[in-house]
Amino acid sequence: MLDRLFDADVALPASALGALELHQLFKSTYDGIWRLLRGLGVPTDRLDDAAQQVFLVYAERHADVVRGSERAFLFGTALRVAHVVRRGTHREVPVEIDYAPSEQPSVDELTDQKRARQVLDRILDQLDPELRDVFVLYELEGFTMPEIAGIVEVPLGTAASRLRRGRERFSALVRRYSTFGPPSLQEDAR
Amino acid sequence: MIHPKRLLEGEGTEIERLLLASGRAARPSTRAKWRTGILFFLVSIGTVSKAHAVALLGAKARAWTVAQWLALGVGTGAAGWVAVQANVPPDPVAVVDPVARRVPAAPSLHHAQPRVVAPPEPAPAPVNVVEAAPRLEGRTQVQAPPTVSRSKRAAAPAVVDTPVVERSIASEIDELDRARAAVGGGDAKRAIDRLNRYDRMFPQGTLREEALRLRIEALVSNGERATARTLAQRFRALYPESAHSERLKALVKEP
Repeated sequence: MLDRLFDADVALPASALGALELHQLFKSTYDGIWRLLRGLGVPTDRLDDAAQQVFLVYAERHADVVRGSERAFLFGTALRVAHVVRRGTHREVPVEIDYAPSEQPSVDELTDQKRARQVLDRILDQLDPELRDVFVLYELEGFTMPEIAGIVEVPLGTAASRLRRGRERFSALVRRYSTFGPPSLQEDAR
Repeated sequence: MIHPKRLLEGEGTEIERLLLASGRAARPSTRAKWRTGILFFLVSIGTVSKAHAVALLGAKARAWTVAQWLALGVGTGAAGWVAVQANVPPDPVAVVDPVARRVPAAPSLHHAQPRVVAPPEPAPAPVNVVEAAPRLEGRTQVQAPPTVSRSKRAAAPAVVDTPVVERSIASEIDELDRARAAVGGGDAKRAIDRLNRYDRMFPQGTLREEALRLRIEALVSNGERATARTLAQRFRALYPESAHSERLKALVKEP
């Protein structure tokens, strides 16, 4: 359907090639952008708007984006949009999860994906934003370290260090969760 | 280490992988994607039109010409929108979580029945009968009246025609772990058998990308490089964003 819509622009001033590239770019990155925003803590009810904002920023500036770095631009924009949205939501994020001893969760429990996502969200919320950015880009979105260094705009060594610290923190939180169970997960948190 | 193995690829513990897999399986709503696509298109066209107009015309005519170009872009976009609107698949009011759908009523689960997961955008209204979205398999029909209390739902028989084999992410990971171990141990045939079994058990599995990657590795290690190359092409087509694409491309190259 989008294909048809993009095909309709042949009579417009934009070159057909440009429109086709935009179409391909949109198709290949939208899901990843949306997922990244989610992984970075944008509330569910604002995810679609935030994703839209990312693409509109690109649409307004695509003439200025260096050819070949479109994805990096989009994902870098998504990072900034996520930070702005998170700052605006004033969500209270505790420094430490107040774990209450509870029955140890089984693997079966975690196969319930919604619950697993809630737990993941809660754990990611405990990561420092700079560690979280790199961790989510690497572990969830599959970017390479050089790509991440470009997106986050830090030296490669810094990105690698952030990933290492993010993984240590993530593993520690998961271990803690495995031992004590989660805090009462609020159904409306996500 | 600059390129550590990813947690989801076997570096992490089982729980870590389960959690990350759940995050990776999250998907946006089709309708929101479509809407954003239209806006993206219109604004992109508007920007380009404006640039053309500014470049071609003098300052006096600029505003009017820009307005004309923008009107043309918006008008054409709107016409396109109307033209395709009839073919837009209806956004499912509720989507049956494909993983939850595969989990039969296991007593240890918090939600013993397949859950109805609201799409990310506000859903218009709950429904009593939820049919699988078109992209899901038609063989699963779930009756999940949301108005019934949890205790009643737990007591009610699950009206689910699920495939015979129990399906869950844990089982998927387990199967893939065995295949991965076989590849690592140099037993490519066994790995392929395991992956065939995985394909039969999880035709819509969450970790199919990982399964295909393992299959390609197993084929290469079994000397079936031509088949591996074909599958690697298919992998790139199916998962253009995957971080594995380049590595697989190098893997299937002729030595």
